[in-house]
Amino acid sequence: MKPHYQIIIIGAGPAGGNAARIAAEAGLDVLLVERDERPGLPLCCAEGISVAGLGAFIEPDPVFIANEINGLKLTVAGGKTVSFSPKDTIGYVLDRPVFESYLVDEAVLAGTDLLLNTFAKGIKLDKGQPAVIELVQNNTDFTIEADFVIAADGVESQIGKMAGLKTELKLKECETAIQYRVSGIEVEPSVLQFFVGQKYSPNGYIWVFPKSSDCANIGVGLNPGEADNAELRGYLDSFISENYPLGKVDFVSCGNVPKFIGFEILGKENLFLAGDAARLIDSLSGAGIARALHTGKIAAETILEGIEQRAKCSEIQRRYRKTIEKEIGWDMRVFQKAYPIVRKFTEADWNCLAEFLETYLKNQKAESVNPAALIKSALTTAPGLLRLARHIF
Amino acid sequence: MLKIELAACLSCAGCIALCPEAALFLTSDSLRVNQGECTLCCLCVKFCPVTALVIDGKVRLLNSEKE
Ligand SMILES: Cc1cc2nc3c(=O)[nH]c(=O)nc-3n(C[C@H](O)[C@H](O)[C@H](O)COP(=O)(O)OP(=O)(O)OC[C@H]3O[C@@H](n4cnc5c(N)ncnc54)[C@H](O)[C@@H]3O)c2cc1C
Ligand code: SF4
Ligand code: SF4
Repeated sequence: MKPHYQIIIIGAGPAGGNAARIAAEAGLDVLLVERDERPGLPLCCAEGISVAGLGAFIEPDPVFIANEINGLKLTVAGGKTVSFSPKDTIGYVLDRPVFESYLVDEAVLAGTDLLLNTFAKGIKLDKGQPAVIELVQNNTDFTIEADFVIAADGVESQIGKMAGLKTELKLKECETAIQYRVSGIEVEPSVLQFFVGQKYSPNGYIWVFPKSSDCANIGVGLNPGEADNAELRGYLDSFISENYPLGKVDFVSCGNVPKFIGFEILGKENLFLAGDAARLIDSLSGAGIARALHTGKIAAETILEGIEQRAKCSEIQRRYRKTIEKEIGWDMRVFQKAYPIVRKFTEADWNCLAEFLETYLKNQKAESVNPAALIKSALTTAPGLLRLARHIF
Repeated sequence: MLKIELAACLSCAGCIALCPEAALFLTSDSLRVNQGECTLCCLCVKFCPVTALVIDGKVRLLNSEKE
């Protein structure tokens, strides 16, 4: 450990791990700081990711892949079930603690210094000066300086907040979620299942993401702005007792799935936010692993280019925002606009969407389906849904 | 007073994102609350997926006495 680094990355999740790996491989002097003893724990995730979402950033490796997925199934309470089953693999269920350790190991192999069990409790930014990070490890306080900081501190996003960015979430901008790892059940091992409608969740959904043919991550989310979080667990318990009465709950996890709230919180001075810390997550599905890998990569590459060109921080910030807007902006905004509409879907609306999907997905190849384009198309062309989205898109 | 039921809390950090006062923080050990900063706004209580946050009975009484 040194008193000064070119980049300090706070948080060893997918955003921070990938940023550290890329920055260190490019030869930068990098420190990665993680509060927990082991990256990826506690697990707050259903571990699903698309083939493209993983493959664009890291070579898929059986070491961290629990299961391959080649189908999706949406069930509407008291109504339709629609399936998408292309022949090829479309996604994976990861083993996230192993995945995170893998990313961190790669970063360390490339030369990253790693501090585990270390909490970043403060940051001082001063124009033209290195950032000062206040750290605590085993009750000992110390500071380290850095030319650049990547805050990849996940949903809590306190580093950005301390620096004056408005990362705080309102109740309507998040989803409260609980998940059980259930074993001793029979599940279709290669199909991700989604259950929607009042019976499952008042304004979210239930997911069944199989880890194998007898074990799955089964969870439920709801928006606590409009529904009662105290009832969350009840939805999951009734679903499991109805569908998997013999299932054994191995462990419980929970978490906050933030909504995208705009590109105004990507950074300031020499501080850059990536992944959940910047709320870069798909508002509809809650998928954030791929966005975290992606924006961690963009942050590291933009800083690297800035260092090489001796660019001003304001210029690096401008480029960071421009690249993010170009690469994921359109999709993020479609999901952001669709979320408040879909959150209020009635069962009739869900059935209408299911009918639309049935026709839309027939004979589609997996790689030609863009989820954001699909949802926009549904909301602007399905006759039963037009009334909801007319003024939005 | 805001009470954290440590036996129920799963350290997901989700509540921290909502606190307007930055009164909650998760160290390497557990979730803590800085009582001096907490305004008892209840946002974190309304969020927690496992209802590990509660406003202590005494304070609720005090509040209702005030009303
Ligand atoms: C219940 C649930 C299910 C989900 N399922 C899926 C899914 O199936 N697919 C999907 O794509 N996404 C899913 N998500 C979203 C996904 O988990 C996140 O989008 C993703 O983890 C974001 O990665 P990140 O690197 O930005 O942050 P994180 O993975 O949250 O990592 C942040 C890291 O920073 C550390 N940290 C925080 N503050 C500090 C500090 N001050 N000092 C030091 N270290 C700190 C934390 O300990 C943590 O390790 C789910 C989320 C939830 C809650
Ligand atoms: S939201 Fe609940 S479970 Fe998660 S850290 Fe806060 S108190 Fe603990
Ligand atoms: S009650 Fe409000 S102020 Fe107190 S810790 Fe919870 S969110 Fe923060």
